[in-house]
Amino acid sequence: MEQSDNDIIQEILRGGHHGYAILLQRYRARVLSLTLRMIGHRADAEEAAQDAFIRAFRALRGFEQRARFSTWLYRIAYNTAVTYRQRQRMVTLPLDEEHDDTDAARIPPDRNLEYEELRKQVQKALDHLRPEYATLVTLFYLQDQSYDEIATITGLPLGTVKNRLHRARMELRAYVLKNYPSLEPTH
Amino acid sequence: MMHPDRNMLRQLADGNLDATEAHPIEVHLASCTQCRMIVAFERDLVRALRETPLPQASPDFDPAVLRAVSRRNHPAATSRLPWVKYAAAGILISATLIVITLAGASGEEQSRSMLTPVFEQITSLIGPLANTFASQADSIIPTSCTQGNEVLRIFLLAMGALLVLGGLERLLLPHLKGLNHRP
Ligand SMILES: [Zn+2]
Repeated sequence: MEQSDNDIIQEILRGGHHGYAILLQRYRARVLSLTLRMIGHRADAEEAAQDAFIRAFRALRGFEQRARFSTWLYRIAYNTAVTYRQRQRMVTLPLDEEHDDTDAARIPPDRNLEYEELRKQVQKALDHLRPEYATLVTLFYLQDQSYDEIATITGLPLGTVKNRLHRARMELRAYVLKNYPSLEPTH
Repeated sequence: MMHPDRNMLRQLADGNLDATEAHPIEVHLASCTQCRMIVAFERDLVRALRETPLPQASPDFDPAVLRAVSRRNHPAATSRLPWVKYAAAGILISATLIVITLAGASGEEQSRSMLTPVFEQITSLIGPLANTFASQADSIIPTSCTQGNEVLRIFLLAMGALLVLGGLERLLLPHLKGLNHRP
């Protein structure tokens, strides 16, 4: 059976060092996907993710286990990425930019559309979402955090989290449906 | 045909409806292709979001983090040189003191060299300190051999210097390390 995060942390606090590698292995890609969504720039995102792990590991003694370890870690990663973004004055992706994707345009409207196609469309839509929305989408769907946990991570009010996630999903849906008009509601 | 509210279809797709809310919609879905497609689309949308490919970290990702963390946990482990430094410093200080002592014992006239003023300077600076050490040691270690005091003084002084050096490094090294630590 897989060792729980809290068991691993206890082991580290007792002086074991193997636990660090397990936690890295478990969360590396997810933390990186979060910082990448927020920062956009690959090398900076990776540096921010590493920084987040270093900060978290050094502060492990202060983790009170009131929240899930993942929530605590994502909160550190979120704050680290915010700092990086401020430092580098990253320009957010323009949301209203006219989207001209020849690949997408070539896909015929097909009622029995392949899931794989839809998946590609969703990824493109996610890339076009403004970062603050895409960040919440990542936390909710990919990092499996609840509304409450996302509020903890981002420091946003719960209502804002729900509202933004709702809007994000609407935008994603609208983006994808542009290519599949057959799915547009007629009722 | 009366279709269920679109929002209800989405809630159903997300699994947010309880059985009593879901039942009438499911009955409707059995006979309505369009609503079925909408629900299927919403489910695929969520599935696609959950299956977003995760980025691959560079091969140095873990090692860099582990290095940084272990550096903090075991500052001494990062550089094994301090012992060599302490030993060298200790030998140097002891050697200097032995020379000073011997120079003093063999008479000023014969052994006066270019370095003598320097030695005298050092002796005047650290001599009282060494005497204090020696007298402290005398009270702790009652010894009948008075000649041993000289050796003891040198030994204690060397030890004291080592302690000071070690303490300084402990204090200063983390700051120096912190400056060029970047994963
Ligand atoms: Zn219907």
